Amino acid sequence: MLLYLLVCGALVFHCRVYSFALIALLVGLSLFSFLPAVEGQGTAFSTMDVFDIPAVNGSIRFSVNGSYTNAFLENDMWIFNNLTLSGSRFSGTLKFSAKNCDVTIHSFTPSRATSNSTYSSCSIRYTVESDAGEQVINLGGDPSRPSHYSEWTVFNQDSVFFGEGKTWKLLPDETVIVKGLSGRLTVMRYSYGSFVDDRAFYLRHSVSITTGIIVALTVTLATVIKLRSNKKAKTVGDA
Amino acid sequence: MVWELPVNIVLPIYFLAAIAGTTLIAKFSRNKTCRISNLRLYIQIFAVIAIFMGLIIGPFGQPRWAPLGISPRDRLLGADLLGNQLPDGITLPVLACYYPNGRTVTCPAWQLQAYIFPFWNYPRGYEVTYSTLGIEKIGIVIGSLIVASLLFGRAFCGWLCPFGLFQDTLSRLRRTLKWKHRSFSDETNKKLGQTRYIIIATFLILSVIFGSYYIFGTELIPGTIAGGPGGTEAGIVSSINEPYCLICPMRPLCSLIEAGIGSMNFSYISQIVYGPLGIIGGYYSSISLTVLIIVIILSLAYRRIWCRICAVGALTALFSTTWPFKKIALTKLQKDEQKCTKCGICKRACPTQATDMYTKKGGDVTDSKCILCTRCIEICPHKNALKITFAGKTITSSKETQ
Repeated sequence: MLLYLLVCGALVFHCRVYSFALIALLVGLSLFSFLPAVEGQGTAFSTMDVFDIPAVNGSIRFSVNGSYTNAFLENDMWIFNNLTLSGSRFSGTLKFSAKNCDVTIHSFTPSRATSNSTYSSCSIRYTVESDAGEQVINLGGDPSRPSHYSEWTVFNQDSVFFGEGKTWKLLPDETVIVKGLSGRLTVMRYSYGSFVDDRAFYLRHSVSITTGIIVALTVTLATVIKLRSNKKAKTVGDA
Repeated sequence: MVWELPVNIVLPIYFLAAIAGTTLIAKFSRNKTCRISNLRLYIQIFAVIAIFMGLIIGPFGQPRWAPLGISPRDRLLGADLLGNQLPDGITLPVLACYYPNGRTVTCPAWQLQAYIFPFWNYPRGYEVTYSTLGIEKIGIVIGSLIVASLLFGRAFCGWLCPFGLFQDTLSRLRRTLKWKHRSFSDETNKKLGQTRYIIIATFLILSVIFGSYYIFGTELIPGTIAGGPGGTEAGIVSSINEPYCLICPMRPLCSLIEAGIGSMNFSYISQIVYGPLGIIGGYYSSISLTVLIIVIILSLAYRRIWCRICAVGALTALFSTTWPFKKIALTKLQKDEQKCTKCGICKRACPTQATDMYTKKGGDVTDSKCILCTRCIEICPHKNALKITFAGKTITSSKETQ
């Protein structure tokens, strides 16, 4: 926005100072980085680490490095708190169980649903390396705000979407159970239909409001310049 | 490859190199008939670096298909600035394809098609949940296009578009091989220019048809619900909700280049998904690959062949050279009729065969086919006969040559 106003100022006032200010601003802005990826804290793990679940003949590993604050096995399910995968911006709690199968987890977006959140979506992508088996997955959803199964999607590497009830089901505590599927699977929730955004209007629509203002300013500025040049041409013509 | 260099080092070096190089070329280039062309090439290269800056400053978002390699694709300028309202990045009217890794801006053609998909009520997109309606996002994209087009017209095509650079490179190759370029007849070229509007309109209508379930609640073509209520198994939908992207040559070009330099795992190319429009790979279709091959072959004969039918160019031209935008567009090609001798060299030099600067009498001669490359100005032998103006101020004008 500041950049835009500087350009407008340079146009209106034909001032070199604005041009130099523009260049200084560009260089100055570049000194600030974008939001950094969330730094992992706690215990680091690598792709070589295997999280076994001996009681149900399953194992979990990750295809990228990462970290968690703590991880433990409970009721045949691995619980990773503050799990962050390398290169990801997000961290959250993942509960995963693999029964009669070996699973490699590739990506994880935890549920970010809170009372003030603008949306709640989550996903996990993993490969069932061995026989299909069964995977029990909880991406940190809030059981007090249960989702509907229509908000969830399970699909494989061929973009085949699997019907709920046939190969997967959603439990009331936001746990998804996937059974009988192999290959690379994605389990995802889209906030389908239960989306609630209770922010102020101007925050919810800040981008469109800003865009509208910029369009109006540009059209106004262009019209003013056009009128001025028409007037100037008429003055020169009269002279 | 992903270098993951620190942003605080990369960006200052980038801007300083861009400004320094531009100044040096502008000031010290000896051959005045090529000075602007050299400057334009320099700016085009830096524009491509900026558009795919994410490849240099590394992955930001989560790995999307980690078995296929890390995907530094979420390094979106817009994602940081605009948050979840428009996480697909800032609209720039160039073929900054949505699909490749490391991009910082987004192609408006993709955005217009994609935002038709969740139109009235629904913030859902592709693996992303937005907080704005599809229609609101379309409004944002069109607003951005209007602002960009009013400010700079089709200069984006001539100076910033990565696919434009690709075509210019092929033209330079042709010149190196001493092959003469060919030209369409004026009538054919005019029809090509009209075709691009038909193309963009057709594909936007197809997007509406394929997304009809989400807009109107009715599936106009069976199988076009993506994992809908109850988890319907998708048929063709995941492949053709952005029909223009299935024919656009930029997607396979970016995918092949990025796979070639190791910034995208080759599985994105080799993973074959059979669809209704021929074999569809991970990030291209057989149609778009064929279109790319045709464009490459034709670019060795015709200059800027794709620009003559480009949908994004059509959108930019629509908002800068058609009424009422034409009246207030700030960047114009102007002609002084008194100084023009009708030698026709401007018309011959124009890479898109725009003709208004030759046929029109004087004043604003900005053609909708003109990409404001300033080649006509560079080559015009008569001082101030042609000039580019911005807000009435002359940016560059033709110089007298012996």
